Amino acid sequence: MEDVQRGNQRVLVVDSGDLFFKFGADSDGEKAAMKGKIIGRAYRQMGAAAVNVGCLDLLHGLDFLRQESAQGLPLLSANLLNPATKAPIFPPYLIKDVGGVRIAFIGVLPPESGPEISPAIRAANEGKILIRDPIEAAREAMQKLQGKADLIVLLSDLGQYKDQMLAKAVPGIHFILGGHEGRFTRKATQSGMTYIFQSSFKGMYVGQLRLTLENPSKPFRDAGEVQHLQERIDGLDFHIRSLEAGKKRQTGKEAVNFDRTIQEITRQKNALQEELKRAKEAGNQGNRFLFTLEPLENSLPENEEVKNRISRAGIDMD
Amino acid sequence: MKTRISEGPRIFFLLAALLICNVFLPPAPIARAGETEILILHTNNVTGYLFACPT
Repeated sequence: MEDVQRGNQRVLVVDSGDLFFKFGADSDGEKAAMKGKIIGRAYRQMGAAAVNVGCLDLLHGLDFLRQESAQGLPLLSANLLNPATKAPIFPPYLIKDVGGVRIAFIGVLPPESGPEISPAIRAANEGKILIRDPIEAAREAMQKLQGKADLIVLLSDLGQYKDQMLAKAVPGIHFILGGHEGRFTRKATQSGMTYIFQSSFKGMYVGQLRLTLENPSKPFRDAGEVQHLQERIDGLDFHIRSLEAGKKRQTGKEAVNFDRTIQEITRQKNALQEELKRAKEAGNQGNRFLFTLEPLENSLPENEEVKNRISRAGIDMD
Repeated sequence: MKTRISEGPRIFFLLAALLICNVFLPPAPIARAGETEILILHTNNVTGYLFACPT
């Protein structure tokens, strides 16, 4: 791993939170802490660039996270504060210089996580934490980053809806790599100039965000747009063919209704074809990104060393 | 019996494989001279996940 990373400096590993723990009957105790430590160790070994604190990461108390941070895991959070000093407990942001491009990662978590989880988080961290409004915290971090970063990436555990609200309230964020619900994102959600993604859950997929930068101060374009548009056009084509086949079995008024539907879908298809033409003309120019989800389950062979390590930890079937 | 690998180590090996692939395979979208290519590998909710917050 070290050799690979030395050979290719332009790869960053990041996590948006809820990395260590889950909420539920089997989430307590030594076994969960052991599993959390193994995960922390794996991310340290991978040389993770930034790991956001998610709400569930607080379920075993702040001391666990402090230990992980002390051992070198780059935890960050802009809105997890010390209630006495009102200062962030972990760095609010981290800046990485990648091939001459300064990328800032900011972390945020939700102030409320629901009627069962919030009390559990409070009980595990009595008097030790204060969670600030994430929009205010992100705005302050953005102000501090002015002139220090070319690219802003928010690592968020807020969930997609709140990510969209935050992107509207705090312009200037290029990408939000989100989480909380663990959504499977095939296509970015766009809010203003900000693109928002999630990379599924339970380690089933890893999100790959490939950035090609020409001039970091200019907006990004989704290089996957051509493929997305073509897929939508193909879908509409299939729908039109199905309706035409159905129409042949109809007579009178019903056949007219089929015609109207076919006309409407054809109109939508033509509009998409115009969009596709524009997307193709844009070609490989300017700042662009491609986001894909890589499935884990089929990619990983059994590994004796990992198997033995898990067996020794007693979490084989967890 | 096949042993299940927990999420953390499983991700570790996948990310390692992706990093290795990134060295040998041409990246997409294709970069031209004067452009910088960066790959960010992202995970979320590796262990826990929730439905959208009520607030």
